[in-house]
Amino acid sequence: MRLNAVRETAFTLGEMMVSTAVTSLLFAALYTGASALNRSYAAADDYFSTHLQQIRIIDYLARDVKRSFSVTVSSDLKTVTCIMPDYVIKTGDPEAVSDASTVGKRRTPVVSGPPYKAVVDYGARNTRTLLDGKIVAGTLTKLTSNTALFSASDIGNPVSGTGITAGSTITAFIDLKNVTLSAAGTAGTGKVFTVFGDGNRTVMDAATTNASATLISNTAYFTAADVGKPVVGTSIVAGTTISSVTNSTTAVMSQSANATILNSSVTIGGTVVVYTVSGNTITRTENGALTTIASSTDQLLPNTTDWQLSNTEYTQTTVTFQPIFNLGGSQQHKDAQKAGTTVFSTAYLRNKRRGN
Amino acid sequence: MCVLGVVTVLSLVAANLLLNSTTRYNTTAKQVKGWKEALVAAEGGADLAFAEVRLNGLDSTKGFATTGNWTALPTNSWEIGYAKPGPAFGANNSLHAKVTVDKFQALEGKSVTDPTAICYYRIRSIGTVDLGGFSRAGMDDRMNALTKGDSLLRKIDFNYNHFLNTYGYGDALPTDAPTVANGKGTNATVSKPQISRRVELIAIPVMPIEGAVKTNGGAYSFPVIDSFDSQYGAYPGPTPSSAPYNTASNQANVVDGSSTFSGTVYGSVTTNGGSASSSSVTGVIDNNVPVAPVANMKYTPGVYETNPGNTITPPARAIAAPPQVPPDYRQQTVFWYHYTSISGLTINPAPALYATGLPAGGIIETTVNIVCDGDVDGLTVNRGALARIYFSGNVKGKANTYDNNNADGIQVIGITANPVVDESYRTVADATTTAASKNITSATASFTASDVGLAVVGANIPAGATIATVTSATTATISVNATATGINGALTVMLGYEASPNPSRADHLWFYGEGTNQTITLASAAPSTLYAGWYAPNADWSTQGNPDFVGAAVVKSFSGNGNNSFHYDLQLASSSIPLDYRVGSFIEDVR
Repeated sequence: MRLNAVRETAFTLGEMMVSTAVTSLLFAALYTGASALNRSYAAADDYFSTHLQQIRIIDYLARDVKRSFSVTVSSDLKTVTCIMPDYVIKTGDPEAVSDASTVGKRRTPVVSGPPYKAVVDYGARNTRTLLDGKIVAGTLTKLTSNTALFSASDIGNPVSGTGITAGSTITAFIDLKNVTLSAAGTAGTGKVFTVFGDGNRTVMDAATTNASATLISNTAYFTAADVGKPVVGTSIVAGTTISSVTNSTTAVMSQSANATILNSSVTIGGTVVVYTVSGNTITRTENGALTTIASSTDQLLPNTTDWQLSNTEYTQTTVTFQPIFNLGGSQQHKDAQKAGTTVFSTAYLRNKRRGN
Repeated sequence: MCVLGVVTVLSLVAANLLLNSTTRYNTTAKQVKGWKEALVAAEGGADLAFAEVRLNGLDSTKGFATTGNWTALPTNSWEIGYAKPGPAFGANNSLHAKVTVDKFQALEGKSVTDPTAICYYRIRSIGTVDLGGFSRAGMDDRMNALTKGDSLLRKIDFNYNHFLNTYGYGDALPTDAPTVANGKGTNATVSKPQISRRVELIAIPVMPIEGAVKTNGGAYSFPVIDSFDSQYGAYPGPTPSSAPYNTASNQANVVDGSSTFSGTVYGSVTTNGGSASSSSVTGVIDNNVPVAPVANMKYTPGVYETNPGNTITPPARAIAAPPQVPPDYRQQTVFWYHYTSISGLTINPAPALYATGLPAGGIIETTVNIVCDGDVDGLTVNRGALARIYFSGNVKGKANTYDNNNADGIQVIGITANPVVDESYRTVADATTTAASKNITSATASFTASDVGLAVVGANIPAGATIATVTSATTATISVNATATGINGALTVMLGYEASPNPSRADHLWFYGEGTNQTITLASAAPSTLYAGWYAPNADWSTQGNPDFVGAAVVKSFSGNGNNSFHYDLQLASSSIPLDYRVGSFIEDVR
């Protein structure tokens, strides 16, 4: 008997080699494609991520410049300082001290000065008149009022009125109804007192002297709480703050005035937003608190920052970012990749500066 | 087959990845674009409102028409986009705005409810952009090294209006309970994703006077100019005089539209290429300020009264008496007259109309507008009359032939309707006012209950104020808030008398040049003082000799010699008729 012969078939070595080669080529192409796709996606993601940060920081900048009453740029073009009004009443603000229900409300500004140089003042100094003042014999330095709603923020505030020694200030907070005066007054009840607050405000009678850091105003009623506050006015150098307070009518500024001027409007205080380029990062702080950063895995390098200020009526901003691509070939190739990420912004301020 | 399957699967994964990426970037790009466009929408709404302010601010009967979908609110305010449709624009009307406008402060210490008041306007506009697509966040509000809080900047409302939910109409705290009044939670649900931005603009009137003197391209040459504020009384020095000058005020600002400047100025100076120097100018100097051409004052004459000849005494007349319905017995206070020329004209105020409750024999402050086709040669304005002369010829004659018999500061002009007519009024000098407060105090006022209802005038006290309550002999409240804080101010309680609402003597006589090549030549005369405002941008203004002048001027050129002096009354900066409005402040509510 003859067994059926089993015919065994298989790829020949040649076929196997060809097949393996084709498969290898296919997988190689697939790998290369997937890898390229991945690199391309990563690069695109980096680019968009970087670009979004650029857009965001410029959007922040444009918004802040537009709502500021003062915008200044440092000489090295790496710091921008915006001072803007305090629009919404916060806890601790002067109005909130006397009326807590005002917290969260939008401020109604006071327009002062003649219309051709009107100042829209969103500040509030919390100056108030007390109709029920009382000074009792034996404690002549204690001022009492059931309606005053005194707070610690009144310390240093000047007080005037019948029976009050000229130049008196509040030296200590006792409670909501009682404070201590710097000088003894005259005993009596039903007295009328005016307590001058030190909130952010605009005065119209400021006087400066060229090359002098002295700032004088009979209506500013400066107190120690004003130290460090920004001060903005026609003859005042951008970025100036109050360094010290001499008395209720005189303060010393951090920089000398650049003109001699009388009866000028000066704004004291406000929200301060600072943009700073530091290394590969741009930071934004609001009253000292960090609020946003522009940086990424691509790292941003500011190439140029060009500001054109015309009495702060408008600001043109050109910031060129240089994202560092981690991927790529030669340095020349990388540098070429950095180009084309310039962000341009024109923030037109409808208002002239709110000083003179 | 295996390889093809793998390739297919990988291709699908890759395609899905790219699709997701595209969706993500599209969403993000649209959200960023929407955030920017929301500001455009807000500003578009504000621009629409500003156009209405320019109408309403110049003529309170115009602007904010209901046919334009504006709704008038009870308190001198208007809105659009709330009860009635507001402006919508952009593709598929995806950008829309809601706007409210209110008068929040008036010039000259007046109340915003006073129909004659020139007001500041506040425009609050909400711009909203509808975002396409699903409620999907393309941005990230986390704050860390990699994510920088995109959504903290661009707040997107996916399902609820975050602002309405949190802050209501804008004046509520996040912790406040929702109420109808604060608006929290009201219509907070949004049907599709949106972004809103809120802006607030303050519109400020542009007044004719920008300083003591402004020249419209011509030379400035005048011996000396200083300033004072008539709300505190007359010029503090003797007039006419050559010295002393009121150097303390230092606000006699001069805007010289030419390169020719000479004279002493107690204030600031700008010239157009001139050489003003600190040797004769006390304030800030800028010699490189071009002046845009100034146009003549526009006016629309009313119905002319019969020309009465050389003495004008307007009739006592109700604004709208029968048979008009309803009758309006308020006193008419504005009259128009037409002259071909003026020489030696006398202008009186109207007598008080008995029907208004004013006793017979009294007078009422009256505005007399005169359109003069020719020259003006001398006139007299008596107490209580406010004259506006629109002249097309020239002004000539000696300076002392122009008499303005009104007064600076508190000017008593007539008897009020108050039943308690006292033949006196009292003035104190120690009054204290507080900004935005009705309280007034004076240790010497001796307030009594009978003072309630009486007119009270003084520094920082709006016109038309009366005493509302008397707390004690030294304390009272007035009917409206004081405009500013003041100590030891002048305060006059008008016991039965009517005070002029206008403290400026010069503001009671205005010359408006309406020609193209005019002259104002005021010849030398016996020492005198001419109180007037001059707005004649195409007129050469000149004088000589020793007349004094109180007022302000906008003229083509300005010259004087001899002992002339000019005292700028600061009150004129906010008087006369607004030329236009401008935006004086912009702020965005970034919550």
